[in-house]
Amino acid sequence: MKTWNWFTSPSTPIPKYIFSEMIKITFYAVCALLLTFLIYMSLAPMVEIRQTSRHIQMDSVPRKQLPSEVSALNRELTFKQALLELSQEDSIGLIVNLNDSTIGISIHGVVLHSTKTNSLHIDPWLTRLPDALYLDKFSRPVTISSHRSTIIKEPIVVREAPKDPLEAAVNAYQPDTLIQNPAFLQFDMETNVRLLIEQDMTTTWLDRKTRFAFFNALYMGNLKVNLKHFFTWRGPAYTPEIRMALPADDMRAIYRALPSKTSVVIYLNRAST
Amino acid sequence: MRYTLLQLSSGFKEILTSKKRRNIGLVAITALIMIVVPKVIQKASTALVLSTYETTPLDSLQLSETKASLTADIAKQDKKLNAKIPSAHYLVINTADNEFTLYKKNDIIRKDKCSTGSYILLKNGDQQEWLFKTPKGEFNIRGKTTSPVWKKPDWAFVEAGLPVPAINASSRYEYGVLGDYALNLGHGYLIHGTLYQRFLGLPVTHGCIRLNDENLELVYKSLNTNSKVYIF
Repeated sequence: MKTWNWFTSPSTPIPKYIFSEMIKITFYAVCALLLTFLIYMSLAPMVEIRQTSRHIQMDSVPRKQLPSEVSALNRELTFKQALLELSQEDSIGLIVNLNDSTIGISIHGVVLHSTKTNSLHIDPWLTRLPDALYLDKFSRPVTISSHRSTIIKEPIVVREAPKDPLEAAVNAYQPDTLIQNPAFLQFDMETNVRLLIEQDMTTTWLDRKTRFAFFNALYMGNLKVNLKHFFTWRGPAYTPEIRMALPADDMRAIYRALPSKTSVVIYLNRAST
Repeated sequence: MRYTLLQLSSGFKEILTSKKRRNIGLVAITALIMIVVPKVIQKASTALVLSTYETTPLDSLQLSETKASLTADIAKQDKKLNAKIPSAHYLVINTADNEFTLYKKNDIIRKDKCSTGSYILLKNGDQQEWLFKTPKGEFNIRGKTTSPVWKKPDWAFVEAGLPVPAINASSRYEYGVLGDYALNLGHGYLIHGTLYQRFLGLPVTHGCIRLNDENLELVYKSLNTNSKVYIF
């Protein structure tokens, strides 16, 4: 095999085989790094279970452990108790019943509006949760820690007062339906569960563009966080997701009704999933 | 055509027999490993952690007792939740869709269009501004009136480009514009009728809730003082 010396022959061009070797080495290095990252990411659900378990251990009130045979009843009871707790609050709360695929809003125990989802996807991480972990996440109303939306919360239209009745008559308000953007919602709960709601009809170009931008921002954000964690030797981040589709009008009605600090009750029964 | 096909097949043969074949296989295996290995690790690690949460099963007697106790508790909670729903008539207003629903307990008595706040922010220079928005939450009917008279607030004059008169000036009083009935929700917000029935179903009001004559009469007769009105 030919040898090529960097020091003795500086003017000679680099032989081809060195390039191909370098490409090979780079390829293997990238593959190894990618595989390590994918394995690291695959451990994220387990890390999240561990973190939830740690949270239960730190809980000052130990929960009564019931066997899996009564899991459905236990979860139903917990849901009802959470609803009662929600009814004590003075603002409008959100109820996500994954059992009958409905989402609604209520105040003081009165359901104001409820709508059925057209499509529902629950993260398998959530459906496989044992009762002990489930109760930690869903046994009480949880607050939304952050949210993102394409819906305008208050579609305010600014108008300057007319100077005289003539100007008022010329600029008379033409009533119209409010500005209606495509509807996509993301609610992140304080218990590290994410609720993604999208409109059931994505027909126009604007709808498709908004949907792409919305989900792209979400997944790029996730990737960024995990890459940062990966290169700083921290555990992977994992947020289980509940994804549903609703009619856009219902989404607007629900989103605009919710106060800045919203409480959410989520019900998921293993028997039904 | 035949020539092109021959060329293609010889090119394909070359790929299969050349050194490239080994490289293609290598890439395919790497890709497969990248897909399969993380999946297997994810499943195995999650299952391993979850296996620690298995509970010991109860004997049949204990099980039936636990089931009975849980069922009784659920029934108790249901009763408590049911008691939260007003037994008398109540009204629910949807400001996003401009719809109202009149309920008695869980039964819908009437569902129809209404008009709610326009979300217009009226600015009078830098000094004053008003936001025409219907408030949200739980309200009580504070009072009911027949043949209501509208005492026009300042914004009504500002919006019309007119000078604002004195607080009790006669020009502030308008008769017949609020319909035959009005129900007071407090803070100046009313449920009333309208002359502009064609705008029902649209967000056009200054914060009040407008109904058509027939619905207004039904709501007026169904709701009493202290009846609940829920606006969202």
